[in-house]
Parts: sequence; C-alpha cells; structure tokens
Amino acid sequence: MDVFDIFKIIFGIIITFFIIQFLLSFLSSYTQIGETSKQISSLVSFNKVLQDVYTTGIPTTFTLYDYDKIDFYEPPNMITKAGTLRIENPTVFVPEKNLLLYRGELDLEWWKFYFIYALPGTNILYVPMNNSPLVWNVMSNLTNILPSTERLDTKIMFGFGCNGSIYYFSTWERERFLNIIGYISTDYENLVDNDCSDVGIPQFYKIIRISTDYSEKPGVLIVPNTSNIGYVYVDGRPYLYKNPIDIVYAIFGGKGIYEYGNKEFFSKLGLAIDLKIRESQMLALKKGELCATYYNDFISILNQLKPLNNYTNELEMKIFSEKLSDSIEKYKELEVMGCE
Amino acid sequence: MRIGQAHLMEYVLLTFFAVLILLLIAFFLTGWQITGAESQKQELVLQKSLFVLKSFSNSPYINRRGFKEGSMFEDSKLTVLKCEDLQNLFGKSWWAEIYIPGYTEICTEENYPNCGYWKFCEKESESIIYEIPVNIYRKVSGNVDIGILRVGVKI
Repeated sequence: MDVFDIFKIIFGIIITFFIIQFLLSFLSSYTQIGETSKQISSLVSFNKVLQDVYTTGIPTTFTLYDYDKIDFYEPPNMITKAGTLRIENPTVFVPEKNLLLYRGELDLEWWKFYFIYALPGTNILYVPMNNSPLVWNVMSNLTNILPSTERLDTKIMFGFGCNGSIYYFSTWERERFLNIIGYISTDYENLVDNDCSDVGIPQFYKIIRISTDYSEKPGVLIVPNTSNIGYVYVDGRPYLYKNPIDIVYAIFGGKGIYEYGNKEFFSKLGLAIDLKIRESQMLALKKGELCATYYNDFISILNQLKPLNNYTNELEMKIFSEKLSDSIEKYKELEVMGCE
Repeated sequence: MRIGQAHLMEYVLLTFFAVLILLLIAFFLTGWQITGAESQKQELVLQKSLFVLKSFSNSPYINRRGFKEGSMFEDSKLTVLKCEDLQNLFGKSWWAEIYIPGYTEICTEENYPNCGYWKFCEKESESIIYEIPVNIYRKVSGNVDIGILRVGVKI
C-alpha cells in the first residue's frame, strides 16, 4: 500500500463523513419542515371548512387527524405545536378526531347572530331536579339551540338520566326530543330517581342538571331565575346567562369562549343596532305615515338597547334582556303592518 | 510522480463534483418549497375572494329574512351600509359593487329607492374578481330585481 492509497482512504473517509453529516442535518430539518407543513395544512383546511360552515350554514363532519397536537384553545386562538391558528368566528370547539361542524344561530327577528359548533358526537342527558315550568323552559330553549343531526353521521343525542345507574333514554334526536318534552314533564315522578352525582360519566356524555334551587354538585347545574336569565355552574364556577348560547359556551367551552363569544355578540349587536337605526330612519321617510310611526317607535327602543361591556352583572342583563324582547315585539309589529 | 498527481487531482475533482451535485439538490428542494409557498399565497387570495363572495350572499346584514339559501339582498340595507361596516365583518383588502343593469347613479339615502348601484370600498386595479347574479328586494315597492354582484380581492 503506497502513500497515495493511504491518502485515498483518509480523504474518502473525511469526505464521506462530511457528506453523511450534511445529508442527515438537511434531511432532518427538511422532514421537520414537511411535518410542520402537513400540520399547518390540516389546520388551515379545518379553518377554511369552519368559515364555509359559518357563511353558508350547511353542516358537515370533519376528521381532524392532528387534534392531539392542539395544546389548547384560547378563543380566538388555537395554540398548536405547528403554530397559532386564529379562528375569527365564535366557535365552540372540543378537540377530537371526528367532529360535527354546525352553525348555530340566535334569531332576534331583526338580526341574527351566528356561531359555530365543532363538537364530537355527544349524548346530552338532562336531569330536571324540580318539576317547574322554568326548568322545562330552559331545557327546551337549550335543546332548541343545539345542533340537529338527523342527516349527519356525527350525532348529538338527547335523553334523561339517571334511573339507578342506568342512563335513561339517550337515543332521541333534537326534533323528536323537543316534541316529547311536554309529554315527559307530566311523568316527572317516574322520570328520575337520583341526580347522577354517584354515577361515573363516560366520555362523550354530558349530564346537565336543571334546578330552581342552587346546590353544590359536580359537573353542570343550571339555575334559572327568570325565563331568560339565570346562572350555569360548571364544577362550581358560576356563569351568568342571558340566552341559551351562554349556557352552551359555559358547558362546552368554559371561560375562554364565554368571554370571547360575549365580546363578539355585543360587538356585532352594536353594528346591527346602528345599521337598523339608519335603515329605519330612511324607510320612515319613504314608506308613508303609518309605517313612519311604527319605525319611530322601533328606533326609540333600539336607541335604548346598548351593547354591554359587563355581561356578568345580573341587573344590567335583566334590563338588557327586557329591552331586547321589546325590540323583537316591535319588529314583529312592523312585519304585521307590512312595513318590513 | 506526475501520474500520481494526476490521479490525485482526478480524485479531488470527482469528490468536488459529487459535493456540488448534493448542494444543487439541496438548493433545488429549498427552491421548490419557496415556490410552493408562493402558490399557496395565490391560493389564499382566491380563498379570500370566495369567502367575501359567500359572506355577501349569506350575511344577515345584507340579505332579506326568510331566504335560507341567501342571495336576496335588501336595497335598503345596501343603501345604509358603508365600507367600514363591512370591513368589520369581512376583513380588509377587498372591494365590491352591486348593480342592476341600467342604473349608474350610486345609491344614497337621498335618491333611494330610485337607484340601483351600490359600491363598497376602494376598487383596486390589480384584483381577482368574481361576478355572480343576485336578487335585490325593493323594500318600498315590494318588487324583486336581478342584479350583479362583483367582488374583488387585491392581489
């Protein structure tokens, strides 16, 4: 073996080492970029579908493969290992693989507020703890705002619990359940024999207790004060609600979506009030004297309806809720008179 | 000796070209990623365009109540809406115009309802534009006219 052969061997080893090291570091960063791109692409695609559901109102199901890579959801931001995704529209999101995407709405006659559900299939079991009209009214209003999944694969089902340790009926879809509430309320004594405190809750079940009296219970307890206002307690933490959407926020999302959802609601309500006042003032001049009278009454009610910054004050919420109901009634009069 | 040096040079050159090819492959892959990012940017502009179009067609701030499928605009709502109001809802960097063929004067509260052209936000010359037919409900007369909605997003 001469010097040249030795040189070839040593030179070859050095170059090979250099090339392998270069390849390994390039490939590992390239793989990392590819992996991150894939995750970002999946989340961007999820956001796009959410936007489509929000704008069109057409529900769909979605498979979110990287749901376990979501660190946490602090509306409007979803924090993941690949970065932060901003979801502009109020979205009630529970990170799971197979999701139902559904647009919920609060219909105020002269305006609608939209929000999004991104939920896995869930069984909702009500536990009415008193036989009071307030209790059945809350149950009805809450069910009405939850998704109807009759033609979808991912289901939201309703029922009552508990009878012993057995969950009592959990196979009703929303429309069927709304039809039977009135009938079931007459059979209250045979309905439930305990409040499910001592029953383990499987995954994808939500036990919702409703009572006119507060008591310390784990899980969810709704205590209505009036037909529109009350408190929902989630593991002891109180949330004031003025409409069923607040109950949904509290039960499925917690403080983050409750605050963001309310902020968005009042922000959009402020815009809607402003536009409606401008529109009504213009139409009052163009649609004749009779309509002008109704429009002017409607405008004066809207002027009293101020978006609130503090939606945790019960008295302010009561006043706001009454004014909102007045505006809805006045708008219905406008429709009956043919002005709208 | 000279033959030995020639062998050496040959060896070094071969190694040099092999490393050069590896570097070129690395640059090519990186360049490909950058091109991919550019085309994604274009894709996002298209998506934004479609989003504004769909939002117009289904927004409760613009559409008449009771039409679930959307695209029934109310002329009174269009007349009182301003660019800033819609930007609060749909974001920025877009413009829109709605017109009923035959009308050229922009609708204001003074000439309403004898008008049929509404414009929102400053038109950008370099935009991706979508155009669809829409229904326009005339609040005062109760008639429905056919109009065209044009939405543009700045590139």
